[in-house]
Amino acid sequence: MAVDGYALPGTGMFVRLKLRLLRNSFRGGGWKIAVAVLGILGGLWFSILGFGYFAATAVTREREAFVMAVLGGSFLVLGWVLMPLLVFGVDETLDPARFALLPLPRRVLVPGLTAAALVGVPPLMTLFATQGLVLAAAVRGGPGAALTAFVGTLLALALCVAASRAVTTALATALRSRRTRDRAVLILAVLAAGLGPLQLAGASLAQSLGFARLEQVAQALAWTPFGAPYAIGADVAAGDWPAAVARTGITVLAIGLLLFWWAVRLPGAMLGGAGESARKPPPAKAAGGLVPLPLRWLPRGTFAGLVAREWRYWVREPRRRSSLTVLVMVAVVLPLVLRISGGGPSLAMAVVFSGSYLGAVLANQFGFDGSSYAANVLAGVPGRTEVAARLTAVGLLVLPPLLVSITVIGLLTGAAGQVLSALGVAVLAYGAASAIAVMLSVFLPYALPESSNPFAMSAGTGGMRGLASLGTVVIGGALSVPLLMLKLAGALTLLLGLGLGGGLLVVGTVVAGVTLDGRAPEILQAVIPRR
Amino acid sequence: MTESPALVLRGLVKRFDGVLAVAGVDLAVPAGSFYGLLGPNGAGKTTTLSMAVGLLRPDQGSAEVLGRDVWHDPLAAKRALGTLPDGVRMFDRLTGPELLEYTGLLRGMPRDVVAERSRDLLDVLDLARAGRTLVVDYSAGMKKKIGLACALLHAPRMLVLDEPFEAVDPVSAALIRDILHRYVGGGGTVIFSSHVMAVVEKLCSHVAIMAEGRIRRVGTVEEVCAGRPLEDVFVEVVGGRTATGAELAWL
Repeated sequence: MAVDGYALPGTGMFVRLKLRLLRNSFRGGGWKIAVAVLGILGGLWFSILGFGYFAATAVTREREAFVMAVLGGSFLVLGWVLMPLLVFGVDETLDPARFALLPLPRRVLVPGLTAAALVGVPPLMTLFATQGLVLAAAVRGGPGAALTAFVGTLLALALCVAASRAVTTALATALRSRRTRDRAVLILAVLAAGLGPLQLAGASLAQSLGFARLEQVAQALAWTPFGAPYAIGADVAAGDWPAAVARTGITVLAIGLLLFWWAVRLPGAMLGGAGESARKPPPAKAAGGLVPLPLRWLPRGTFAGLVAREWRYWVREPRRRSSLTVLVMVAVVLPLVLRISGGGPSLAMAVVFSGSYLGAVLANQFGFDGSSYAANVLAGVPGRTEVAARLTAVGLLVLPPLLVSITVIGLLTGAAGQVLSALGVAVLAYGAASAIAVMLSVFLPYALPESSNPFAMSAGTGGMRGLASLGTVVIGGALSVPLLMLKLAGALTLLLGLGLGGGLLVVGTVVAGVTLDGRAPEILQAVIPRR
Repeated sequence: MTESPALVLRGLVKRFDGVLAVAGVDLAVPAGSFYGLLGPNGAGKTTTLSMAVGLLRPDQGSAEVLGRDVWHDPLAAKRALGTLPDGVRMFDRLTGPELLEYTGLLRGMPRDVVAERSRDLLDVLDLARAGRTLVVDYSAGMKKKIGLACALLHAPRMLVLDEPFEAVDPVSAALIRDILHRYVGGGGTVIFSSHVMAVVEKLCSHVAIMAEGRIRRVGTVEEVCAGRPLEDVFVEVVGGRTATGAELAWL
C-alpha cells in the first residue's frame, strides 16, 4: 500500500506502543513508581466517587436522575477539555510530532492516535465512573435501557477524548513561538489560580438558582454534545426512543466533526516548534543595560549584578513571572476578601498569611534557575552575597504591592487605625517566611521540569516539596502571631515587625549563605533536570 | 613554554548511582599547550571537565589550576579559569550584552572594562547584530559564541571548553579557532573536548583519548599519532569496528 512496498501499521501498533510507554513509566527510581501508583490510586478513588454519583440516579426521582446525569456528564466533558490545560498537563506520550518523519498517511495516524489516546488511566477512570449510568438504566428500564446507556457511555468517552485531542492540538499550533508560549504560561497560571474561587461561585450560583432552573439548564445541555450521551439511557428507560436516537446522532456528529477537525490540523501540529519568524532584532543599547532603571542607585559590583539579573528574571522568565503574579494576586486579594466578608478578622489578622505567602516564593529559588545556576558557581559568588541579592530583588518587587495594598485595604474597610500594626505584622511574617524559604532552598533544592510545553509546568512539581513550601507559609505566619496577640501601639508594632523580620532575614541569609559556600556544586546538581 | 603544568588532574573518580562514569583520570596539561580531549559519547569527558572546573564534586581525586586546588581554594582557582560548559543553560532570558555585563559584574570587574571588552567580543564574534534578541532565541552556534565570550571576558589564563565546536557553522568554527589560536600564542592554555578529529589534528599540540571513564592515550599529537591519521588511532584505541564492505549488502 505504501510507496516503498511495505504494509502500513494497523491501529494495534499504536495501542501497543502506548502500553509499552506506560509500562516503561514504571521503570527507574522508586519514587517514580510511587508517583505512578499514587496516580492510579487517585484515579481509582475518583472513578469510584463518580460511579457512586451516577449510580445514585437509580434511586432518585426520574426528573432528578435526568438532571444529575446530564449535569455530571457535562462537567466530565468540560473537565476533559480544561483539566489537561490547567492541572495535569497534556498527555504527550504519543506526541504527533514524533511521527512526522515516518511515511504514515492520515487514515492510519488518526485512528491509531485516537485508539492510543483511549488507553490510559484517565479514560479507564471515566469509563468506569460512567458505568454507574448503565447500572441505573438497568434498574429503571431493564436490559435494553442498560445496553443503550452503555453505548452512550462509550460515545461519551470517545467524545471526551476527541475534544481534548482537538483542543490541545489547536493550542499546540497556536503556541509555536516562544513569545506566545511565555504569555500562555502566565495566563494559564492565573486561570488555574482562579479555578477555586470560580468553583465556589458556581456552587453558590447553583444553590440560589433552585431545582426548576437547573432542570431547564439540564434540558438544554441534553441537546448539546456536552449532555446528550448521558441522557440516552434515561430516554430509553422512559420509552422516549426518538429522543434517544436524536441524541445519539448529536453525539456521533460531534465526535465526527471533532475528529475531522483534528485530522485536518494534525499535519500542522506534526511540524513541531519551528523557530521564531525572522524579524529584525531591535538594536542593542550601548554597553549592557542589564541593570534596570529602578536599580541604578545600587553600587556596581557582584551584588548589583545579581540583583539586576534576578529582577530581570522575575519579570521575564515565564515560570517565575507566573509564580510571582499569582502570589501577589492572592496576597492582595485574600485580605480584601477576608475584610469585606461580614464579621471578618482584624486587618492585622487578615494580612498575616499575605506576608508569609509572599516570603515562601524563594523556597526553591535555585530550582527556578536550573542548570543556568552553573554560571554563578563558575564565577565563585560568595554565598551570603548570592542569598542577600536574591532576597533584595524579590523584596523590591513584592514588598511595595504588599505594603500599599495593606494600607489601601485598611483605609477602604474603615480600619485606618490598624494600618501601622498590620504593616508590622505583615513585614514580620514576610521576613520569617523568607528566612525559612532561603534556608529550605539550600537544604532541599529540587529540579523543575525543563520543557517548552507551557502545559507541562503545572504537572507534578513534587507533592512532598510542595508541602515544604506550605510549611514555610504556615510557620512564617505562626511566628508573627505573637506580635499580633500583643496588641501594642501601631507604631511600636511596626518597629518591632521591621526589627524582628529584619533580624530573621539576617539569620536566614547567614545560615543559607554559609551552607551555600560549602554546597553550591551539590545544589547545582540537584536542580539540573534529569532527562 | 614553561614546564609547570597549568591544569593537573589527579585520580579523579565519579560514580552516578553506582555506575562508574570516570574511573581514575590523571592528566597534566602543560602551560601554553593547546590540549584536545577526545572520546566517544559517554566516555566521561563532560564529567571529567566538570570536576576540573568546580561544577561537580569528585568522589576521589583532586584538580589544580595554576597551582590552586579547585576543591580546597575554589575562589582562587575560579579566578584563573574561563569555562564553557556543555549541556548547561546560560541565563538565557538576558540579551547578549546583558549576559556579558552580568558575567563581568559577577566576577567583580569594573564597569568600564566590562563595557569595553563586551563591545570587542560582540564585534569579533559577530554577535553585535543580534541586538536585543534574548539568548534563548539565539541559534545553537550563536549560543556557543556568547558562551565563549562569557568565558573570555575576565581574560583568564586557563580556558576549559566543553565541545566548543558542536553545532557551530564552519565560518564561526574558523573564527573560534583563530581566537583560540591567538589566545594560546599569547601564553594562555586551552583544553577542550571534541569528537571532531580534523579540528583536534589541526589545532592541538597535545591530545588525550578517553574511553569508558579512563584516559587511553595521552601525549603530544605527534607521539599519539606516530605518523598515522588521528582518526585511525582514535578508532583503534576506542575499539570501534571498521566496515569490511560485506555487511549491509542490501542497502
